[in-house]
Order: sequence, then C-alpha cells, then structure tokens
Amino acid sequence: VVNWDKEQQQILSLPLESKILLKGPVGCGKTSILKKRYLQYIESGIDSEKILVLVMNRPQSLLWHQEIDEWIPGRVVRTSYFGFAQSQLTKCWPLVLELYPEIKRRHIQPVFLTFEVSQFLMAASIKKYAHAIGALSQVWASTDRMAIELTGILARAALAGVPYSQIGDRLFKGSMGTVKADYELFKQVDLILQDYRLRCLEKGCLDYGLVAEIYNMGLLKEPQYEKFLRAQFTVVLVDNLEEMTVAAANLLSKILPYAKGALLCFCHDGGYSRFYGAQPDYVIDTIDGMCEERKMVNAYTCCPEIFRFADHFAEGVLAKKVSPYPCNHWVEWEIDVDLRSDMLDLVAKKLISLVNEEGVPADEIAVIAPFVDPVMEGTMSSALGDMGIGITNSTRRPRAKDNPFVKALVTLACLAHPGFGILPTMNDISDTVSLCLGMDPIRSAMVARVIMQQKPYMFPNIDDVLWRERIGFSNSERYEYIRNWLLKYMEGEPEPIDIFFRRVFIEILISLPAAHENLMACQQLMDSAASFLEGLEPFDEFENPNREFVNTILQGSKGAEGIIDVKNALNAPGILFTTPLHYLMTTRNRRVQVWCDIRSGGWVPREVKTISNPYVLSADWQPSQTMTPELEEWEALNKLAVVVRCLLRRCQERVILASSRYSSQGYEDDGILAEFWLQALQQGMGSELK
Amino acid sequence: MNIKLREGQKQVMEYEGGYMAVPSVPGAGKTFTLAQLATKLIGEGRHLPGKILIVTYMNSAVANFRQRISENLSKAGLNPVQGYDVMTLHSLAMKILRDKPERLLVSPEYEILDEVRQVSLIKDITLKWIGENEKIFNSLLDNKKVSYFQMQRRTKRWRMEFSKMVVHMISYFKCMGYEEDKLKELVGGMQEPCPLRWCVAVYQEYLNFQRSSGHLDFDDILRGALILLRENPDLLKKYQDAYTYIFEDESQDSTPIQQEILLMLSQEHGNLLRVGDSNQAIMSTFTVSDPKLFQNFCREEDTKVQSILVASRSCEHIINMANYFVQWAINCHPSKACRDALEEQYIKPVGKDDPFPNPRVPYYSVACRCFSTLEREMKFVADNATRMLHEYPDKTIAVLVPYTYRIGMLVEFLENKGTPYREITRYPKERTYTSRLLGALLDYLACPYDNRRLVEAVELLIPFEDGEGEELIDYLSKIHLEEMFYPLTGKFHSDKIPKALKESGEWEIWERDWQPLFQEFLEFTGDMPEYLVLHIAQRLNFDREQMAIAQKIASDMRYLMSVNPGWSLMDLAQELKEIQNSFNFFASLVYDMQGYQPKPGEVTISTYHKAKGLEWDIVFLTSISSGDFPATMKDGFQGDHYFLTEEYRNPIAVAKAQLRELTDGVKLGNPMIQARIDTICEKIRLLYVGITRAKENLVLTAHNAFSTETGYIIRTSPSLYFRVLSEYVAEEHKQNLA
Repeated sequence: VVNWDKEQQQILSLPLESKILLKGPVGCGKTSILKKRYLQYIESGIDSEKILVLVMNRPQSLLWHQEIDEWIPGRVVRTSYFGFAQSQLTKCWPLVLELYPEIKRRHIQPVFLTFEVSQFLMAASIKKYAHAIGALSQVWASTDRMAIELTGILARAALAGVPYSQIGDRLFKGSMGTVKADYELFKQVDLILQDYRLRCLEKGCLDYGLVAEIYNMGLLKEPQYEKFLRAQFTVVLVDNLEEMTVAAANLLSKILPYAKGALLCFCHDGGYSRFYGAQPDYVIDTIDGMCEERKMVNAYTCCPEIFRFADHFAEGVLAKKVSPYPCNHWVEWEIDVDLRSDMLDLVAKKLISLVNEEGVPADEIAVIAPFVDPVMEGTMSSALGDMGIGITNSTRRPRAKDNPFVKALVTLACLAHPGFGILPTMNDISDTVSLCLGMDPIRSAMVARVIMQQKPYMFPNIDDVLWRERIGFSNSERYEYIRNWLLKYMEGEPEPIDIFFRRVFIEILISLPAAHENLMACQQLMDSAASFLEGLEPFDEFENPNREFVNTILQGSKGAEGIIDVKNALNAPGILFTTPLHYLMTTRNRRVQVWCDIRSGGWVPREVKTISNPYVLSADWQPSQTMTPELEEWEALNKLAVVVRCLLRRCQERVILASSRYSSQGYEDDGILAEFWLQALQQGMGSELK
Repeated sequence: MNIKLREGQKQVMEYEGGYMAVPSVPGAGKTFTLAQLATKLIGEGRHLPGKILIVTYMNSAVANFRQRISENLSKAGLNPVQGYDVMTLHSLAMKILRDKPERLLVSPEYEILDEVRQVSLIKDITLKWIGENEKIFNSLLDNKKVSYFQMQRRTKRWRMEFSKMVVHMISYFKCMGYEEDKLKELVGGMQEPCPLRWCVAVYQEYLNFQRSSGHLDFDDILRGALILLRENPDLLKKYQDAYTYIFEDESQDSTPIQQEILLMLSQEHGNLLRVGDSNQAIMSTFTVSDPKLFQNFCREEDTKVQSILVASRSCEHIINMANYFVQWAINCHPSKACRDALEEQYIKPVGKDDPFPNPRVPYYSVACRCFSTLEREMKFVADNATRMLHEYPDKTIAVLVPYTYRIGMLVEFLENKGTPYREITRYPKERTYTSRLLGALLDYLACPYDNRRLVEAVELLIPFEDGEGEELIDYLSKIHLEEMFYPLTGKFHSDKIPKALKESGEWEIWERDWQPLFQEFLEFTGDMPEYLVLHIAQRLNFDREQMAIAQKIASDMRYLMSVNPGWSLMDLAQELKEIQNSFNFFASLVYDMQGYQPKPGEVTISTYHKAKGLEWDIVFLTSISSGDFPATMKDGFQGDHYFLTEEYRNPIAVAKAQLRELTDGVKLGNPMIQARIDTICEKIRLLYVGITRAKENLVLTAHNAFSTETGYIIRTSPSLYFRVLSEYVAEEHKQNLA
C-alpha cells in the first residue's frame, strides 16, 4: 500500500493514452509510479506481452519482478537494452543474414559470446598482430588488460552509434591534445579491432559490441524490421532514462511515435552510468516532442538538509572548491589514519557501536568504498561476525574455483585429461580428495602426495596394507569407485568439458552431503563451459577449447552470474558493503552511509586509458575534436559530482567518512574527494582531525 | 612562537621566498628548522593558494616532519592537516604518474614491481642469458693458476656478481635516461667480451616483460614523472600551482631526476629551499645521487646560501674529533684526488646561554681499540655495550657496522649475554617475523602431514622460555600427525605420550591451547588462502603493525595466484619465508612510519648508512678496517672482483665509462682508478657520519683479520683513518690528563 502524494497522484491520474516524460530528482518515487502505471495498463486489459518495460540492469529487473510479476497473468517483457537487442536479433536472424553478407556461417541462430570468450578471442587477435607486426608493443599493459579495453571500445562505439571504422581515427585525433599521439599505434588498434570483428562476424558469433552494432546500426534501420517492432508493442515504460545509451534512444525513437501509451522516467540528477555509455542529453534530444513533459520535486530518500547539501557539494565539486557548510551534525570524519588496516579496524568498531549502542539496524547501514576487496570483506565479516552482525558484499562475484565442488570438478578434469598438460596443485588435489572421500585434511594431503607421485597424476592402486591402515580407508570402496571411474573414462574418447562436468557431478559428487547447496555453482560452471565451447566452436584455430576453458577457470574466471545470485545479493540482510556505482545501480537507500577510503583515487576512476578513451567514442563528439586536459578534468569532476550527489540523496540520516593516508599496498593515497570533504567540513570538525 | 633560535636558524626563519641553500652540519636541527619555517609560512598565509611541499628521503622522515608540523600548527591554533604535504620523492613521482599514466602509454592499472621482485626478476633473466652465452660470459674469468674447485667457485661468484651488476646498470640506464633503442645502437658495434652489451641485452628482455605485463619499477616511476612534467605543460602547471613552496631535505643525496623535478616544479613561484650537508653524502656509489648537484646549487647566482653550523648534539671532544677529521682529510689525505671528499665546514658548539647546550662530559670520552680478529672485536663491543647499558641505564647506545651481514655475529654475542637489542637494518628480525610466521604456518598447512613443517611453525609461534619446549618439539617431530589431530578411533591414546612430556606440563598446554588452533587452521584450508591469512591474523591477535602486514599479504595473495596460476599454498608459503620478500619491504614501510626513537635500556644495531639522521649518547663505530674503509689505492675495494681479468676487475666502472665514451666521446683514464677514488671519498664521508652520531661517548674499533663463511682466514689491517684518529685520540687524551 503506497500513500501517493499530490504530485504523484496527478501523474497517475493522467489518461493511459498519454505519453509522458517524467522528470524528477533521486527518490521522488518515479519507479514506484512506473510500476503502478504498469499495473494500470494491465488492469485496463492490455496484454502484458504488448508492454515493453526497459530497465537499466538485472537487479532493477529483479526488483520489479519481486513486486509486480505475481500480479501478472501473462509473460512480462521487461529487459535491459542488451537483452532486448539479443532477443530481437534471434527473432530476426534470417533478416540479419541478408543484411550482413560478411556472415559466412549461415546457421539458423547467432551465437552470443560470453565475456570470457570475447576476451579470449580478442587476446588472440592482439597476439596475432603483436607477432606479425609488433603491434601495441610500446604499450605497458598485459594482453588480457588490452583485450578488455578493446572489447570495451567496440561495445562503447556501437552503443554510441559510432561506426567501427572510425574508432582508430577518433582515438588518434582525440588523443592529440594529451597523449604523445601516435598514429601508428591507433592504426594498429584499428587493425586488431577489424580483425576481431570480422572473425566474429564471419562465424555469426556476436559479442556485446556486435549485438549493439548490428541491432542499432543494422536491423533498426530496416523498414521491414521497424514494422515488426511496431507490431510487437503498444506501450513503452522506461525507468532510469537518464542512464540509457544512444542506441537505446534510437530504439525509443522508433517505438514512441506508434506507441499507444508511454511513461519514461528521467532522473535529472542521475547519469552516473556515463562510464558505461549513458548519454542523458542525447536521449532527451532524441525523444524531444514525442512525449509530454512532467516534473516532480519532492524527494523521499533523504532528509531536506542532506538534499540541499548534496546540491551544494556537487556544485562545489564542479567548481573545484566546496565552500564550508554547516553539516557537522550529520557528517563525521573521525577516522583518518595512516594505515588502511587501522582504518578498517576503526570502521568495524564504529559499525559495531552503530548497531549495538545506537540501535541502528544493520540493514539500514551501507559501507561504500571504491573497491570492496577481499581484505575489507574478510576483516569486516570476522570482526562484525564475532558481534553477531552480518554483512553483505553486493559487489563480490567469487571466482568459480573458490567453490569446493567446482574446484573438485576442475581438478578431476585435469586428472582425467592428462593431454591438457595442466597439473593441479597439491592443495587442489588434497581438497578434492577431502571432499570426495570425506577425509580429514592431513590424510587427504597424504593421498594427494601419492597421486602426485604418479605419472601422469592419478589415484594409485593402493595395495599396501600398512598404508591403507595409516590412511584409514573406511571408505576404500569409494576410493576405488572414483579411481575406476577415471580409468574407465580415460579409456574412451574425451567428452566435451561441460558433459564431463555433468557426468562427474551426477556420477561422483551428487551423493555428497553438501551436493545440494553447491548444485547451483556446478550448474553455472557447466553452463559457462557450454557457452564457452559454443562460442569457440565456430573458430577452428583453437586446438583444445576444453583445455582453454579449464585454464580460464584456473586463472580465476568468475562463474556465470545467475538470477538467483543477483536476487540473493539484492535481498541479503546485514550491513551492505558496496561500491558507489553498485549502490546507485541497485537503487539502494540507507539511513547511514559509511564512505570508506575517501582518500583513494578510486572515487574518480580513470576513463582515459592507454588505448581507449570513452569520450571520443560518444555520439556528441566531433570526429576531429581533441581531448584537452581541461575537458578531461571537467568530465572527471562532473562524474564525481553526479555520483556524490546521487549517493547523498540516497542517505537518510548520516554520513560517516573514513580514510587512510596509505593504501593497503603502502602507497600514498591522494584522491581528490578527500580534499573536497576537507573543504566542506572546514568550519565544522575539520580541525579536530588528527 | 616563543622559541630560541640559533645562529643560522634565525636567518633561515626569515626566509619568505626565492632560492635558498642551507648547508648544515650534523645536529644542526634541520628538521626542527624546516618544520618551524613551514609553520610560520602557513601561519602567515604565504603558501596560499597552494601548499608547501616537503620532499624527503625516508618514510621515517616523512612521519617525523608530519608530526612536528601538525603539532606546531595545532599549538598555533591552525588546522594541523592543511597547507602542506610531506612526501618522499617516490610518493611525489607516483602521484604525478598516477595522474596521467596513459600519456606514457602506461595502463592505469599498472602494477608496481617493488625492489625485491625487480631484483629477483632481473636475476632470472640474467641467469637465462648467461645460460645461453656461457662461453663468452666465462671468458672474463681470470682462471690462470687456479684449481678446478677454485674455478667452479669463481664461476659461481661471477654469476652472482654479474646479476647484481645488471640490476645496478638497469637502474643506471633508466635514471640517466638512456632510451632502449639508443642503447642498442650504441653497444651494437662493441667488441666482445663486453659486459655493457650483456647488460643491454638483459635490459631489453626485462623491458619486454615489463611492458607485456604492465609492471613499473621504482626507477620507471621517477623517470615517468619527470617525462610527464617535461612533456606536458598542463601537468607541470597543475603541480606548480599546487606547491607555492618546495623544501628539499637531505639535498646532498639528490639525484639528477629529483633535482630536475624539483627545479621544474618550483619554476613558477621560484621558492625552493634545499637543506643538506655535502659531508654526509653517502649514496653516490650505489645510486645515481650526486653531492655535486647540491654544491652547484649553492654556487648559483640566484641562490642565497645560509649555513647552519651551530649544533648542540655532541660534546666538545666529539665535535673536535669530527672537525679534526675534516681538516685532516682536506689537507693531509694521502690521495690528493680525495682531498675534496669533505667540504671545509666545521661544527660549532652552541652558545653558553642556549637552553639546550652541548653535552658536557667530565672525562675524555673518545677511545680507539684494534683487535686481532673481527670476532674479538665484536665480542669486545658486545661486552662493553652490555656493560655500559648497566652502568648508564638512562643513556642510549648504538653499535654501527659497515654491512648488514656483519650484524649476525654481534647479535649472537648480545643474545648470549641476554642483552636487549634492536636492529635498524633494512629487514630487522622483528619486522620479518610476521611474514616468517605466516609463511611457516601456511607451509605446514600446505603439507599438513609433515612433522618438520609443524615443528618449524610451532617454534615460531609458541613463545618458549629458555630450555622449555624441547620434549614437545621432539615428540611433534616424530608422531604420525594424522593420528594426533584426527585419531581414527575418535580419541588420541595418551599412553603414547612420553612420560617426561606429560610431566613437564607442556603437553597439557599444547592440547588445550595450541592443537585446537592448528586444527582450526587446518580445517580452513579449503577456503580462499587470503581469508585464511586474515583468519590466522585475527586468531593470533596480531598487533597493529602485524595486522597491516597480514592484510597486505592477504591482498597480494590473490594477485600472486593470478599471475602464477600454478601456484599453491606451498609456493605462497615459500614466498613469505624468503627473508627479503616484498612483504618485508612493506613491513619496513609500516614500521618506519612509527619513526625510530632511541631508547635507553637496549643496544641499537645499525649500519653506518641507516644511522644517518639519528643520534645516541654512546656510539661504537666498528670495523674501521682497510677493506671496509679503504683509504689508499692498495686497500681492498668492494666493487673490485679479484676473479676477473685485470681490465674488467670492476666491470660496473668499466661499463659506465664505456657508455660515457660512446655517448659523450669522453675517454676517461682508467675507470677503475676513478671508481676507487669515488669509493674512498664516500667512505670518508661515511665515517664522518658515524662520528657525528655520538653525543657523549664514542668508541672506534678495528680488526686485523676475519674469517669467511667457508672458514678461510683473511688478513686485513686497520684503515688509515683508524690509525690517524687513534693517534689524534691518544694525543688528546694525554692533553686531557695533563
């Protein structure tokens, strides 16, 4: 039951045929109105499949799901732009094949590449050109790092509607004002990007960038498709319009003129996803005149004082000087020490006192830091855990191999496929033995040692009675079973790795006591493996994709994120540990925010990198324009201003700041945010700082 | 401010701007004066809109400056954290580089290759290179008239020395700005055998690795910052605007890069104040620092020079001796080329009305002793340091040694006498404890059936008193560990435990306190190793510094595992157990932050180098022998390798001279002679630093022979300086008695 205020009631009472652009600050209730509106459309008899709901990301979608979906009889079409583009490409693939003769592998459906596969393929292209012409050899970065940058560049350009052929040129011209511009370097970038793109395209394999490119610059421009698109939807609802890209704006501009009703919510002080390609101004310009504009002013996610201060602070950041503000009764910065470990210790104490002495519920506290690293998480969970206070890290996606079952699957894969040439470590074998045989860590290590004495590694035949006694094989049957299973498997042809995992899980691991709770992690591993193989299958140059997959897992690849993970992360109780962007993208709202590491440069992440520069790949960038240092600084400050404003507007009562002079690595932190806070607090408690 | 300033300090305090050089003698109160001056300028608002930047060498000095200035500002009712930045040059360079790494085509996610990792990496590449070029490499060995066994030893030694040479030369290439391609071109036409060329070959490999993995070493950071400032007017302006005043501490150790950076940054406001003492320049033989930079700065037309020659640190006897040494070196040094090693700058005691007068000692307080062997010398020092510790419980005592590896013997003597001591070396024992302990624990957890590993961890972990724990250790080193921790029958049969162990009560304590702890750690092994480390740290109640180190170890673990996917817990454990690993490097930083305050009741052991900037009531200067303090061309020199052919005996000196010839066309005489002159000069200054550390008592010792690790007795002799100073002391002593 929601008590709508007058402003909100007015919007909700507008006729359903209206097409509304709703603008308002953070926390004015736009999303709630959007949900209510959705229900109004359903109640009016519109088929849910005819209503397109465009949201920013999966967590957003999940929030909708929890509140809305059970009321809806039919299928709900609620998606991110990327998900939408993927589904449309799948539906219209024959048309795409006509439009793109470069696609040589004319299968009935495209293959969508996962992040791991596209990075793997990009790295292969980089290596190819590095070998052939010494490409990018002057850049101080690992191939993997460059592969991430380059796949990002392609996606970024496609979302902004910039043709891939312009990328190198734009990067070069844009860099002239700053980097020692190197024409050759950007020509090499172009070569690699084109090689990668063409190889993927030929095989009908689409990464994030190609999905955006083909949909936005290909399919969407086809009259035949436009007709099909119009026929699919009659109502469009968009949340967080300010976080949408040029590609999404193009999509809206095609649908809106024909839609029967629409509600687009735009947060005028949002736009924090610029880093991911959001272009709020472009979006507004594109849909200009297509909707009736409505404004809201009331905000409910923070108190009026913080609301005003948020503006003051953000404006100060833009002006590079925050004037002192009487905010010391709800901002405190008492934790400012040399060592980060000391900071973590004091923050833990502060959190304990907040919960236990001041009575703030743990669920009402968020700790926000540029990086929630394992040290922060580990230290906090043990310090707070001792006091019975739970924590949730919304940003952590563990490495797949950190799960014991996954580790066992991967270790057994290495043992069963000596041809991979991957030797598992003693810990991995020992943990696997311990898990599979339910054995204590010491005896497991003894068995592991014996396994490692075999060439290739293998569970040996244990005939020695003394040894058996020492190991205490109460379950020697099980040992024999696993050993025989492996031997039998190795006699036959190796299976695709996802099938191998499935078999091991079903035939060996499923009987273990913890199998059920680890099922999801194993399933994700199998899914990742299947997608990886599917992604690489069209490319015949990779000798052993099965081995490559095992390698990516061993190198720390994260497991595929299931909707259940997202759901768990979103709803987990306890003190929330998160990053600024994650906090905002999951529309959180807390009574107390603890900002950690405020001296860290991570609060203003770098966007211009060695070979990539998101600004020159945006739609409003003039191709011959140069990136000046002033412009770069302004963009960085602008982004910081947006983030701090949005964060503060999602804090109801109090902000606690914490910092250390040295980072966990022992290097001095001198990020700009601390300087601004110092200025703001100057009259208040700044002088009390140690 | 109601503080009495001394001659020189007063004039410095009048500084409001411009270029100023402040040559100052040991104990002149440089830190005090700079901190006062910074406070004054901030109080007057002269720094606005920028800040005052104070650049110093060591992290401990950073902490010291920061603390003093913030205290001064607080006393003056000002914000204690605003208006100034104190940092080492590395921190400053890192700040500049972090600003715009992409302009050097460096990924913003670059990793820092700290000194330890850098050295080990270069060593690996060097050994690989040697493996591929063995014949030419060994052709520099002087193998005439040596046995097969000796030849083997020489080959091994040359490999080791060459690795060190490469590390040195790579740093030299980077600091002196030799570009990779240029170097390649320069050495291309050189005749083999040519160690310079070999160094360039390894350098290229090393650079390839660095680029392909995005790793920067400390030299890259300094050089990168310099290039950024040189080539990017916007960046230069930003930092010029940020710092209205720049103070440089220890200017005599400035390097060309440091000087250029500071000069560039101070260009706009023209406010650069440099404090130094040329007579304490002790870094130039193993880094590119050059005392001439400061001396030249003093001579610049725009530079106002204001010396501080008055110092209250030492008593009159010690001041006189230090001044005598300066005078002797300038006028009587047997090598004329070394007579400018020290500047003619004499220490003056403070006036009688000074609130902090020089210490007064009623007897002649300097002594010299020479011994037949190093061992006897160290025993004497340990005995006497211990004696003085008891006789003068309120005095601070230090023993200075020329090299870290000499500390071991002294420590043994002190430990035998039960004398409390503290090391100020790069990696003192207490600082390495955290990583050694974690290393031993992880090592055991990686191989939990191994008794030896358990014993090693137990010995580090459990604070046994003298003679305690033997029974337990003996038992733990024999028993089947799986039976003890996880008995198959569910219960461990206590009848297996030796009677003596039971009766000693040690077993009970083990079973109650320690075994469950180990078991808890064992059962944690399945989870991520970084959490295991954090868990151990928490369960063992690590103190503040230990916790910082444990957290650094935990955060590095993920990185180490990702760059070495095949690594297991055991490899991580090995990394931790290596004495000079990166974690200890971080540990030094953490402990340095506390600063070091000499404390009565313990003997401080330090190298001469590390003693710079410190002072004690009683100081022993040891090993003033001709090998450690060469004074004539005939003495032994560290850089000279007897096992190499005559013309390459000092390969670093030769390589640098060749490089100089290739670039500037300047052909030096015999570079090895010049290298010896440089070494002699620096050792003169090192001894001067040693002498001026003492406040009240000073003991100089030397020896005539020492034994090598392999048991050889090597004959040496007291350094010429020891003899000269002994004579001086004898004379003074006589006069004093009279």
